[in-house]
Amino acid sequence: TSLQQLDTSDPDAQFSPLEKQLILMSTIKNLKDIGKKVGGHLRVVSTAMVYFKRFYCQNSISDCDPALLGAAALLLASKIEECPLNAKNIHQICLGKETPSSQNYDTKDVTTLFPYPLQQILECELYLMEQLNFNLTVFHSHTSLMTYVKDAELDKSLYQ
Amino acid sequence: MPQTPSLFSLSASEAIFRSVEWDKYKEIVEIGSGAYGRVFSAVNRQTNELVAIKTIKLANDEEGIPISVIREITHLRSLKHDNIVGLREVFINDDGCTLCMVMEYVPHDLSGIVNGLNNVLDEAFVKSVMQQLLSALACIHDSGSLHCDLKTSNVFIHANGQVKLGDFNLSRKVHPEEFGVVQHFSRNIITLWYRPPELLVDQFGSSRYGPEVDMWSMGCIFAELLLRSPLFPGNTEVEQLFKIIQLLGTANQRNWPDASKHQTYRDHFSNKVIPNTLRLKFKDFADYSPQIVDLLEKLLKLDPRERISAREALKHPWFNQAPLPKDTSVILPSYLTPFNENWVKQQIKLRQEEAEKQNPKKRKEYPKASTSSSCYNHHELENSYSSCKKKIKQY
Repeated sequence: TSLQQLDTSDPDAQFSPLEKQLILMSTIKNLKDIGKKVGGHLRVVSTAMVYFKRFYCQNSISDCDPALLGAAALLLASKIEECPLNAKNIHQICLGKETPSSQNYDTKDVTTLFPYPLQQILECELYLMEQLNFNLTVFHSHTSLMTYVKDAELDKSLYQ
Repeated sequence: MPQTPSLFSLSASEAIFRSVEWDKYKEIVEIGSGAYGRVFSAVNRQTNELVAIKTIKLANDEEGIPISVIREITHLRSLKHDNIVGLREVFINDDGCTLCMVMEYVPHDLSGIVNGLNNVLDEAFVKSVMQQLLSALACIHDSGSLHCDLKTSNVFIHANGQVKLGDFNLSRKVHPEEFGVVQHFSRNIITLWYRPPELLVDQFGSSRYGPEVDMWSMGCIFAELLLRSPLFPGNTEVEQLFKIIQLLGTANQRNWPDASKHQTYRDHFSNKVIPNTLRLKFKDFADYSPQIVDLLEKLLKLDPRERISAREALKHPWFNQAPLPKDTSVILPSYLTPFNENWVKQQIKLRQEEAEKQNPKKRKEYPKASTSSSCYNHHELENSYSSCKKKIKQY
């Protein structure tokens, strides 16, 4: 049937839908950890997640490694949200370091966990921007929730 | 990254950029270039619209796409207004490292009009420019953004008098304070001449700022339109502050109570009392129409909290008085002879060469510009460009 034909032309045929879901979900969880270690704000991480999901709505996993795209999404999101993160720091955390430092680090470093040099993150950032069609503004519900809580005049300890 | 070296060595008249998107345009002519890349004018094959294509070469540095480029794209994308430059499309060139932004082509800018046009700028023209600018600014501020680089060379203008605000390289979104995002509030925003006093005194850039910073720049632009020369042409931050205080007087408990909190202000002005001479300087205009000076005074308030907002300014009675903005008699030249920043630069160069020919020894003495003449002061303009460069470097 036509459905099966579609399936065989799918570049992700090697992954089952469940596997795909798992790969993306684990990368998103990873993205949170990286964001935390790099010192990115919650808002940056949320925006990066939205970019990540939007990208894989249109592209397949075999087009671009989710780990690489996650790093690029974080870098782009930090610029949009006006609290820029250092690209080198993001790269170092992706490589598996606990805290970024300038010692023992080269932009061409790769590990088995993350086999990409810094330059590839930057190229991927541009690619991501193009794939998002340059629509980069993301609206979050955080702001309105905070305003809502403030308007409700709840005790500060309740929501912190 | 694949890079073809021959790409930039060819002359502009040849079709050097190749991609599907470039094929949509014809009559591509280079009209300018800068540190970021080159600017072309072109005609859309389908709509016959004249557009400007800005190419931005992405350098292979270690921070990826410059944040200023991202700012410009996001702001132009989200802001749709008659008086804001329209962004038609964005694409990446086939070489993979040149970003192209297609924008509507607006021939003149306000610095060219102020310095180059020999006509008298009548009240209706100034009113029309101010009204359109304020409505664009109100739209920007309503969306929670700041422009942060308002100056005459960023205000573009069509031959029919329609004003278009452009250059959003420094503009930023301001999140509500309670959200607690650690945003970095750079102090190096706004070209020095148009920078408000609260940024000049605040040495460490610790305080947050808001839409008021744009309103101060609006006041400076307004005064420049009236005087036809910049209002506060300072060379350094301290000189800039002195120029402002000389005109508006020293701060006291009534007009700017926060001033004494800042070390810089205390260092220079703690024991001085300078009166406000704004009304004296604009006496001619005050006699003509008192509302002009009233609006100017409200825009140029030392205390940022007292400064008028864009929405309030639009309701100012001056805009409803005769002559109405549509009654202007100023005729702008067609797009073939653009009055813009480049043109002013060329004129400065020409005049300098002439001056050197006439009296080669005295070339450092520039003629002093009287405040109301249409002739501009070379020295001041030169400084403006060096300060612009400085700003870019600092940034």
